[in-house]
Amino acid sequence: MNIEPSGVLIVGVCEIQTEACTARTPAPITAVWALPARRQINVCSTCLDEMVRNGEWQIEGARLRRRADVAVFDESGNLQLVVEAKYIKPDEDTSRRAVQIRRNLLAHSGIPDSPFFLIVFPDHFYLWKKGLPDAYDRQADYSVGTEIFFKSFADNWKQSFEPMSGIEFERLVSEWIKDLSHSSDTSKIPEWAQASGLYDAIKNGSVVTEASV
Amino acid sequence: MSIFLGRRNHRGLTDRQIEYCVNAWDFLCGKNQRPLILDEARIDHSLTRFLEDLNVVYLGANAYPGDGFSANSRMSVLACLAHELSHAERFTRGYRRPLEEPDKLIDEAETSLDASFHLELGSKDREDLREDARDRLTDWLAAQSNSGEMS
Repeated sequence: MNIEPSGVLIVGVCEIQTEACTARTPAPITAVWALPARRQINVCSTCLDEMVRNGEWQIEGARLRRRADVAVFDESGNLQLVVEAKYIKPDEDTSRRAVQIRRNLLAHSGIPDSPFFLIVFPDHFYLWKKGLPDAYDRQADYSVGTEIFFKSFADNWKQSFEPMSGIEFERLVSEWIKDLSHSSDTSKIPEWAQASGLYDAIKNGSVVTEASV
Repeated sequence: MSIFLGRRNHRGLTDRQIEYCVNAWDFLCGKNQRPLILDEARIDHSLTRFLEDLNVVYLGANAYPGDGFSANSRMSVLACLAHELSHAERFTRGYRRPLEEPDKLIDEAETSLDASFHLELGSKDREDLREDARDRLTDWLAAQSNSGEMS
C-alpha cells in the first residue's frame, strides 16, 4: 500500500502498535495518508519503519535506515549475508510476501546489495543469491520449509517455539546461522547451503545481530 | 554567506516551542533515542547544531523557520531537526566532515539530501531539504569560482 506522510507532528496513540511501538500511550506521532483513498492513519516512527520494512507500506522518495536483523561477515570482514527474521505467518502465500519484503527493502535502500539475502519466517525461509542483472521482484533462488526444523532447534535451545516474540525469533535465527557457519562436520550441512555457495561464503564468519550495514 | 541562507528565526525559544522541538526530536529518533541539549534554546541567536566532540545535538533559536524566502529559511522544525539527526547518523557511520568553508558546504548539502529521505517527513519537507542542498552546492561552486579554482 502506498503511504504519504503528512509531516504533521501530533501527540497521540499509534494505531498500528507493532511489538516495538513507542506510542501505546500518548507520545509524539504523525498522521499518514493511505493512498489512493487518503485514509488517515496515526502512527509512531517506529511502527512506520516496521510497516515499510515488513513490505506492507511503501513511501515514495524515502529510505529506510540500513540495518539487518542478522548480518554475517566472512573472515576478511566482507558482508556476505543479510538476514531478515519475521515471526509472522502471513495470510497470503509466504513466497509472495517474501518477494514483497525484499522489494521494499531494496527500493527503500534498507539493505545493501550483499551476495546473499535470506528472509526467515517460522515455517519457511527464502534465499536469494546476488544476480546480475537483478530485479526487485525476482523470486527467491531457494525456498525451504522449516517449521519442524525450527521447533526442534528451539527445543534444543530450551525455548518454547510458540508463542515467541519477534526478538526471540531473531535470536533463534541468529543461533541457527551461527551453528551453520561454524559447523565443521560438512555431512551435516544442508544441500541448499552447499549448492548455493552460502556455506562457503559464511564459513567461520562473524554473526552480528541488529547490525548497521 | 549566501543571500539564500541564514534567515531563520533568531528569537530565543519559548517553553512551548522547546516542548514541540523535543517532541519532534523524539519522534524522529524513534526507538533509537539521542540526546537533545536544551541549555541554549532560550537564548537569542543561538544555533541548532551537531557537535562531533560530544556526539550530541544542541537546540537553538534557529530550529524555527524565519521570514526569508529561501528553502533554508522556510524549512520546518521537523526538517531542521531531521538535518541535525542526519549529521549525527552520518557521524556514526564514519563520515568526518570538513569544518572549514567552503568545503563545509558540500557536507551540509549532502546532509540535507540524506535528511530528505527520512521516512517521517512529508513531501514539502523533502522538497525544502533538497532545495537547501542545491543552494549550498551553488554557494560552494560560487566560492570555488571566486577563488579561481574553476575555469
